[in-house]
Amino acid sequence: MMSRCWPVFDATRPGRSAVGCVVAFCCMLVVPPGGLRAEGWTQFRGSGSDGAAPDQAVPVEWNDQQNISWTAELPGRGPSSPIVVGHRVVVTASSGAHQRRLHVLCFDARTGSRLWHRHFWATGRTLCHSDSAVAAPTPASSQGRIFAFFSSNDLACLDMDGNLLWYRGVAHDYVQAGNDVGMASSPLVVNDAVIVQVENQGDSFALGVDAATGKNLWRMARERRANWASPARLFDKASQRNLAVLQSPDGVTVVEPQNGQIVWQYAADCQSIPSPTAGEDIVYVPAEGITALRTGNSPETATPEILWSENRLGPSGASPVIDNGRIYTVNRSGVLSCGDARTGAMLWRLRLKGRFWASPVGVGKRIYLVNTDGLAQVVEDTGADGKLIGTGNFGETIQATPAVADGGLFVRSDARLWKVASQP
Amino acid sequence: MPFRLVLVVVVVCFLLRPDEAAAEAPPDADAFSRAVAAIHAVGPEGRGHGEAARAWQILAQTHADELTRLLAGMDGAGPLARNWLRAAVDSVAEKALARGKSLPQESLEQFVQQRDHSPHARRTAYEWLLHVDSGTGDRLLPTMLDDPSLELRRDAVERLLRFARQADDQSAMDAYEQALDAARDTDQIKECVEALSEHGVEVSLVWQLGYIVHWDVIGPFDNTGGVGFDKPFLPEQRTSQTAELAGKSGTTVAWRSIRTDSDDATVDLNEMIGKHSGAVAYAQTRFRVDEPMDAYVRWGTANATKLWVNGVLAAAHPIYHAGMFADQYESRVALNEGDNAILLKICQNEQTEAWAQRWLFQLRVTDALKGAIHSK
Repeated sequence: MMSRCWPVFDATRPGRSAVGCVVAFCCMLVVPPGGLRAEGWTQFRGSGSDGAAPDQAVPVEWNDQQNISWTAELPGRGPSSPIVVGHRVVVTASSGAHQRRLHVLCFDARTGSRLWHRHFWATGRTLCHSDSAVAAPTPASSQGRIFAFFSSNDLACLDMDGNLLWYRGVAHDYVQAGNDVGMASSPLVVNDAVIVQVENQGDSFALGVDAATGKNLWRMARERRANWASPARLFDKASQRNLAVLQSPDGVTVVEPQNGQIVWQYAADCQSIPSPTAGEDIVYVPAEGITALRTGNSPETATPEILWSENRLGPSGASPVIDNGRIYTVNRSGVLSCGDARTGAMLWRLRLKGRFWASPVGVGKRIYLVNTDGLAQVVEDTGADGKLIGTGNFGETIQATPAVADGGLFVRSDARLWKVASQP
Repeated sequence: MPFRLVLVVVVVCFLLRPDEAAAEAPPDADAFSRAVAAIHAVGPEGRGHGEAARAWQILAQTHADELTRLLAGMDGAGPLARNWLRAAVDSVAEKALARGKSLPQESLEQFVQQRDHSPHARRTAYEWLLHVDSGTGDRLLPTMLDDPSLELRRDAVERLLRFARQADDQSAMDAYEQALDAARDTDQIKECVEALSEHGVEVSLVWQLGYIVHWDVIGPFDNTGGVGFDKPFLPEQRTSQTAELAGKSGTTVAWRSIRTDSDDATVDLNEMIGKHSGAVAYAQTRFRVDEPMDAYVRWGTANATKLWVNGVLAAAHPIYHAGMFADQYESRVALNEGDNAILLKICQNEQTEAWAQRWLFQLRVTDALKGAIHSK
């Protein structure tokens, strides 16, 4: 019954659109406004790509006895984050002697029961550093579709019931695409375009794919150099449109999502692992620490304005969080830094335990950070400083950025998925 | 108000629900064949997606009793199409089990045992059997040590290794020897070789994997700025063993016969030729087989490489320092009866990081199932 109520408007499912429209309309009437936010946490670092989930009540302490709603077993490894769409959690994993088996799994966010599980065989390269896995990119979702991307450059599109809508082997199409250290850039879905950065020493490009059909909208050659940063969405207020930010080691390129047309570029020595974070008109780039760029006041403005640069905000592999007008980064030494997102002024720093691959997430005035040993540390931003207010130990290696939605914190290791919440 | 509204919604949903029978009507033979053909036709850059998406919806209605027909649709499918079909199989089986129905275990088991079917289809059938019957492995795996599905063969070897790890000396040795013959993955082969060594049976890992240890090498040639990768230095043009050639920076270089004694047959060019930045080396060997055959050259390297077999360029990978792994690259080649010339060009760039100083390779020749082929 669930499948029939899901408001999917899909040209690949002819004959059902009328039913879908009516049902979707009815659902809109009865679902409270908070429920429609049930869109949830739909891509790497959340639906806004900023790592922030301001309206969720997540516990600050948990252990085996309290505040773990459920755990679910996973069939394989993955630094990829879970995403949450409505009451469904989607996770990817890779398994097998050569990690050639790709998994996409969907769980009920309320109970942890597995709803479906799809298997694929990688069509591209699956070699990677032992610290990573083929399921490194985080899936994304939009309009009832899931886009699961892998280091092998396989890109699967499924609906929320696990029905396959299309399947691309991007490295099958462009055979030199791949990086044996492992690729990790996550897809961005914006304006019905699925954007992936396949940047490496072989076939190196950014690709815009039609979300409905899986066909190429555009393909842009990129520097032949390994890059793990994920694209981000930038909202341009002047033109009231979404743009896509592509960060590479040699700079930032902002493009039109639907055709890949370059809007502006900025040359800089950017880091190749942490991703850019963008909101309205401003892009925070991991370059010279962090550099904040403001897009021009008109679409014709080719050069962004440099708002500020702050070297002390430089992140390691984890990407920044922008929340409540503040920017939070964690560096190689495990120091969490907080700065004013408008001015770049340093506000406070706090040393935490461990090393971090998972990016922090912001929940209200609290920052959740999970280190590679699986220790979660919850820091409250008091305004003047950061205070450690809680911990939770997952006891397993964790590289994936948590998801925050449906009243809980979703965390995955190579073997398990947890929902941390005070309510079941 | 909310109650009334909910009631209205429930009624509307009920009235508009797709007809159960129609929605689940399995495709007839013609529709099924056309749907499989549409999925087989998917191509690069999304070609055929519209037709394939419609076909997938049809195939996903296949009755669970006919899973093997759907699995057989994977026969002859390319890497993309087989993923479309795998998703359809999983969807059909998953829904059947969710509705409390059973899977056709007898026909699935027969399908797994029919080796003329696609290895991927057979593996899929095996996994669904295992899902509903945990005894499937013990029943089927003993016959799969020589299976053309490398996934099934790996599980068969793993089952044998589990036994060997706990068996007494003679039984363990027998099992490890049997597993060694069957294994195709390096980790399993290593485990067998190490275990046999502990039991006093020495097996060469290098020989077992088929690595080539005798090479003629020459270099350095110039690769400053990466120009050497596409520059055809003389070794690409002739294979004289005696000629001295002009090397990098005015040096003279000549072919030199070497043998690697490395545990994994790695040829370290920093040792064999000397440490150079921005340099090209060539390594060549004669590979003799008794009859013409298709084979796979598989090699690992941290450097950019080009491969020629009998003078024909077989592969080019302009990738520097992205890790080095066994069988990192592979190229299907045609070997002639008698001698075959294998020539590898190995390019070092000018990165200065400590981890970017490696200039090395290892190479072997195998059949399609990764079985070692040795030069006669």
